[in-house]
Amino acid sequence: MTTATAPVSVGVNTPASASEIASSAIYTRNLSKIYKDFWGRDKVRALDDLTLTVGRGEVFGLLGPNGSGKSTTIKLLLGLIFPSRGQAAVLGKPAGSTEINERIGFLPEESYLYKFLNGEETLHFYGRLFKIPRRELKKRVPALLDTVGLDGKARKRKLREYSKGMARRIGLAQALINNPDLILLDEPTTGLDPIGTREMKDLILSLKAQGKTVLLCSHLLADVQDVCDRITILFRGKMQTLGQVKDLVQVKDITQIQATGMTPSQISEVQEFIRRMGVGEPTITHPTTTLEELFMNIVREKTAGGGSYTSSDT
Amino acid sequence: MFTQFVNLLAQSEGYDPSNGYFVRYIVAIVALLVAVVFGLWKDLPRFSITRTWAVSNVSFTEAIRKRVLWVTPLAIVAVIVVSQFQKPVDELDAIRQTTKFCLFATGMLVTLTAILLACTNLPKEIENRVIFTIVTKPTTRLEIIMGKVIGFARVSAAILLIMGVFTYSYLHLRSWTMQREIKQRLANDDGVEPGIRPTLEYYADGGLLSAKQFFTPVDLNFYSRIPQSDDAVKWTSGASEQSIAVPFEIPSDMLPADPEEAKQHPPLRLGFLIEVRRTSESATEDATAVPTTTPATRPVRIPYLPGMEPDAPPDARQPSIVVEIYDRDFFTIVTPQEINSGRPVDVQLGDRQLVVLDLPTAILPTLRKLAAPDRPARFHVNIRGAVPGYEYGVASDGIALGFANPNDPMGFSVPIPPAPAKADAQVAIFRGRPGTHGQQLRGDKPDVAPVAVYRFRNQQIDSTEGNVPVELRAYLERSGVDDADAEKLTDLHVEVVNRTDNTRSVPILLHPENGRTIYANLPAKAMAGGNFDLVFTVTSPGSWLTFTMNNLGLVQADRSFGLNLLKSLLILWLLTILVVTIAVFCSTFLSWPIAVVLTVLILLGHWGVVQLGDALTPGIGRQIVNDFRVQDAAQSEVLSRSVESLARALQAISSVLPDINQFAVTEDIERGVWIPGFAIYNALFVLVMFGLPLMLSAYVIFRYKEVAP
Repeated sequence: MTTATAPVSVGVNTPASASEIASSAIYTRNLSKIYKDFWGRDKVRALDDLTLTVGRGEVFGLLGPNGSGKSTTIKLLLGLIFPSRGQAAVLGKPAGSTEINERIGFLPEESYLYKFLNGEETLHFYGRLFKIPRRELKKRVPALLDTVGLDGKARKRKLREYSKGMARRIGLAQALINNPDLILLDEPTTGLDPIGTREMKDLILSLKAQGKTVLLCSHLLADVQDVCDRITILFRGKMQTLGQVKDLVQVKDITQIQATGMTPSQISEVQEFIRRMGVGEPTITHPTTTLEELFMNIVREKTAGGGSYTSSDT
Repeated sequence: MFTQFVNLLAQSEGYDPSNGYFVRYIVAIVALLVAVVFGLWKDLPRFSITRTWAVSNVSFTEAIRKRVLWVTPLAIVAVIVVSQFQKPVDELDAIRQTTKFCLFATGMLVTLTAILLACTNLPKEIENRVIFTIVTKPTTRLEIIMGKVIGFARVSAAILLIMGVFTYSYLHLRSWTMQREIKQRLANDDGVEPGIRPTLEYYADGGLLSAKQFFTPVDLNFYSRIPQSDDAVKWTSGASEQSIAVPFEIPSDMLPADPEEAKQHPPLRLGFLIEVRRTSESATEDATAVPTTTPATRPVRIPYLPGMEPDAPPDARQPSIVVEIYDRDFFTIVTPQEINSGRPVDVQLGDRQLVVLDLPTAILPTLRKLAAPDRPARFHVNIRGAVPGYEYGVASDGIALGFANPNDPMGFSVPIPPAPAKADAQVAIFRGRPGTHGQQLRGDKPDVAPVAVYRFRNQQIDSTEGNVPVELRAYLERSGVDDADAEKLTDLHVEVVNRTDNTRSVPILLHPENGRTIYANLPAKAMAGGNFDLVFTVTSPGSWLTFTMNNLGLVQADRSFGLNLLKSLLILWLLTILVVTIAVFCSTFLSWPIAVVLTVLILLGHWGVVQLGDALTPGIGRQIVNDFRVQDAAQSEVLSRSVESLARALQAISSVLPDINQFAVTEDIERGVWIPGFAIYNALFVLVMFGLPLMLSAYVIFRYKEVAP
């Protein structure tokens, strides 16, 4: 079995024009981050010559195992750390500039929020950092809390009392408080149950539908596959592959034919027909659903009688 | 506005342009320029009060929800417990001690809380990565730093408010209770001694909580007689009881550095016109008696000199004077043994006579050590009559100093003009004998007793009707000549001499007790015109009373204690803002435990170097070499230079560290003195001059700090 070979842009250093940078949501060129020890010697090469362009309105996935440089890339794009080499631009401006943060939403890999505030206070605080008027916040905060599935009780509870899933939800809400154009999600489904995971994916798709750009960073490949237009895979700080998800996962030399309502004799006829073509022994199986689909179907049936599923139930 | 502010500071006490403020201006400007270059030009236009206030809100809420304010009841309980164990002299002292406890507890509590909160906050937010969600918003690092400082300043304000309300209520309760008891004692005549009755009546009438504003005397002088306004010559008692000190300043480059060079240098020549007259016999009988308490705060050695033998009859002794040199604080640096070959200078009984004395050149390097690079050597030439039985008179401008003219035995090659500390102060300072608590005034019979004179000039007297209260906290020492007198009250007379119309008020008799504040009412009419002297005379032979510039309070106005407390809390608050700024600065690049240590060091650095005082003056290296008896020339050179360099480095560092003495409020409010407006300006000045550069430095460091660990 062979998979499609994507047009990997590793090592492609052709400088982008100013208009290309301005029109892209994320642009990096030879972006590198090297952590040094006390004596200034290279200790860890966390990111190595990443050259990447993410278009506006795209859902882009950064994949890779732990320590592959995914979070480092996001930190560099947000100005939390500074590049050792290379260039990074976000929404046409240099990465880390405060004015561009007005249009960015960021969900860190864990919800690093003030534990002594409650849900509403947290969103009001972050809203004020965007200078959103109090009157506007009074409308926007409850709507956002509804969107991420935090009910009335949860809103008044201190964040230290939140479960991991609830913390992810409030983290997502703070990332969306400014109605951003670009959303960076670092491991967004970590700690979420399958319903939460599905809701997160639905939300990402709805953000895409609104024309927003999403950079998704995850090692849960199924999640990425469901929502991303394009992905890149990083390994040991280097980009290994880049391309459309459907192209990358497509197995080019195997053909799958699907049909419903076939009898065993009809199946045998088809098998015989393929054998006569001389292309090898065909395999006939029944397709399986995903565990996520199975779980969702069960929950849907159980909640069909009424009521809603919110995070305070977790 | 700014010019007015600077002028006001320049006029205020505690502001000394030569005392490192210039360096602080430079440091502040450099910090500002660095901040502008490294990002302020970009971040300042984006500065938002909304965002800063939001960050401060979170810091404030965190402190409140972590129950920081719960420490205030602990401090309150501590104050109440400690107050129960105090041993006050009287009711006013009890109130003053309680005030001191309250303010001390408040200051300690608020400072420690501020240090801990501000030092731990930023490192912990970086460690638990909450900072990720702050810096990825449109918040500039300037807004984050300022938000933190404002947030903790608000926490400090809340603590100060709670402690302030408690202090005010508790003091009022204690004062009210004590005042009621005093009134009952006075009404029942319950164990009220005659000597303290006026004081108790004063407490009963005026209350125990006060904030008095005092007239400021120009100077304090001790004479053997009350000088008349047209007296050019003023008189001091002999027997080394009083002396005349004249301040001079010589730039260091005019003085040789080492003894060998000094030998080739022309000597300092002292010339003065002096008159000598015989004191009436009654004045001398106790003059040489030794007080029961040790007189000097520092070992001022009064040498045994010919003519000073106490057993010799006065008539048999030739009048003579001794010359010595004091530093700016009146500590002896050149003793009489080093001058005139250790002999007193004989003078003649009679009218003006010129005395010319060449001081040995060996003292010149000693004088040079008093100078700093930006400051000339300041010292006092002190002349005192050595022999009892005589009074020695000198005109205020009758003492001259200069480098000797080798061609003229009476002339100067370079005259050195006197350098009074204040423009309106007398050139010559007539001093009393140094005692434990100040300068001492000898008691004697009324017609011959010496006097202590506080000079008041150009004072604004609002009304010449009624009385002006005066407070005096004097320390009493007895010579022990007559033990039978020990139980007697000491008689102290105070009168006002009006220098505008030369009238004298009727003397008022007081009975001071050791260390206790006594009160009297002086006629306001006698102070009309604003130029007057307050003259004190002890008329109990054998008693010595100690006076200082600060132990007298002539009440100009009695203001609100509550407002005074508010001012002291405001100054404390300014201090905590400074503390928070230092702590936030340290926490931008250090872990919190190290940040706490560095914050304390920065805060106390200047004060610590000031405490080292003389130990850091030039010449300390040589002194260390001598103390350790290092014989080897090379070793002693290295040691001496190293110590000198260390001393210079310490002084240089301390000159840019904040002077927390400018935030001292306890003393004034404890004494019931109205805190002057310039105290707030001085505190604000230190805060701006030090806090602002530090905050900008914190911003620059934080701006270029990678907050992702």
